[in-house]
Amino acid sequence: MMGEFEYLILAAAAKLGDEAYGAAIRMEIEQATGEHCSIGALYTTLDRLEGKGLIKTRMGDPTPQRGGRSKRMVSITTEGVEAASEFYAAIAKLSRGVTWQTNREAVRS
Amino acid sequence: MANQPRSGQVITGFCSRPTELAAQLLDPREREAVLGDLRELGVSQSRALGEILGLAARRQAALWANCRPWLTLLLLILPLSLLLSVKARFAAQESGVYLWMYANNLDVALLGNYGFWYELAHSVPIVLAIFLKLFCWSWTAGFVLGLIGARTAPISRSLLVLALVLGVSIAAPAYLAFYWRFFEPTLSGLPPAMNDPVSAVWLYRSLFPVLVQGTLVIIPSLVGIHSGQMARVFPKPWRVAFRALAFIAIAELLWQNSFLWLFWSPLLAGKMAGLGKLNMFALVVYWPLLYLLAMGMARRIPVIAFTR
Repeated sequence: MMGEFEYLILAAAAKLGDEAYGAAIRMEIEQATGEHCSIGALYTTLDRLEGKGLIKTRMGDPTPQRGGRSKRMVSITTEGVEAASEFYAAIAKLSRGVTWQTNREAVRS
Repeated sequence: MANQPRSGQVITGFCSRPTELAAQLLDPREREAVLGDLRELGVSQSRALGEILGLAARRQAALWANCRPWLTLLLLILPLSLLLSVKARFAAQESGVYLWMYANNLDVALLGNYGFWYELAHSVPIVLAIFLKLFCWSWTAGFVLGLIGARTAPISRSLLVLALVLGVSIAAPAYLAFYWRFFEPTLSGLPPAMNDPVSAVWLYRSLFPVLVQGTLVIIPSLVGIHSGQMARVFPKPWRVAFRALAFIAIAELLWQNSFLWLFWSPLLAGKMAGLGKLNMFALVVYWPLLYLLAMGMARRIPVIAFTR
């Protein structure tokens, strides 16, 4: 089973499609979670996902916007799609019938 | 909310010198992507520096999670640091005697004496050979570390420097004090206090060993680590040859310096000291000079491509 941060990266990469690379994934995650996503966490997790065969990365073309530096482009493999689907299904299954508002009130009382 | 996307924004002068230096800790491909990302995201220089250092720390931590760097530390860095520190301290004592003879006892009347110049001509090559060998051994030690673990080199470099600093300040003086007191009189029959007038001078007792350690051990070993990292691009047969040369050179460090055999029996040490005179591999110690010369020439003549 993958970790939640790994899932977030896969989901962001899937959403971005051909435009998935380090900075864009980071912005997607930060916008979705409202939390800071460090480059260290992002790149080490990208490596881990690549090691597991869930994504593939390649160096893209340099752009002036990035000071002439290349992007690390990310694409999800078939295994990555399956693993993310399983993770999402497990979360959805587990969350079915759970009302967090109710639980929060139960914890308060 | 966290950083807002700044797509299309061009940030000039993003990479400060500290950021560029910190990025050197990353692999070239990763450095390219990370610096580009940080520039595109428009993070401040201080934050960029923090992020790069954070990534470098994660990378190093991941590398040190397996046993290989630890084995390198225990089997190479610590023993080599101790050996080089003891050798440097001993070299400082040996050469310090000559320096003391000429610097602290110089009499102008001696300058007209043929014997003085004869002795000086005899002493200078001895001191130079001591220093040259120490340089070569230190460079070789660093080269091995760079060659076997290029990715762990940043941490290896720091640990090596730390071990060498501790070596010159604590380990080597303790080792040699023990050696001079208990072993040298047994092996050579010389009184342990024969160089007391030299060691009574603070310069030769405290400062000179530190200078020798800094200039002939720490700096060459750091240069050696860099050379070893660069040498990883050579084909395997070359790398095997470099390892063999380095192994022989390090073996020579032990072979030629009987005072490093403290924990061997004095009898065995005496016998091996005799065998050392017949040693055919003594010249291998100087292999770094040939290597550095060849690399210097290769840089000037691009046609010579060792990597092919």
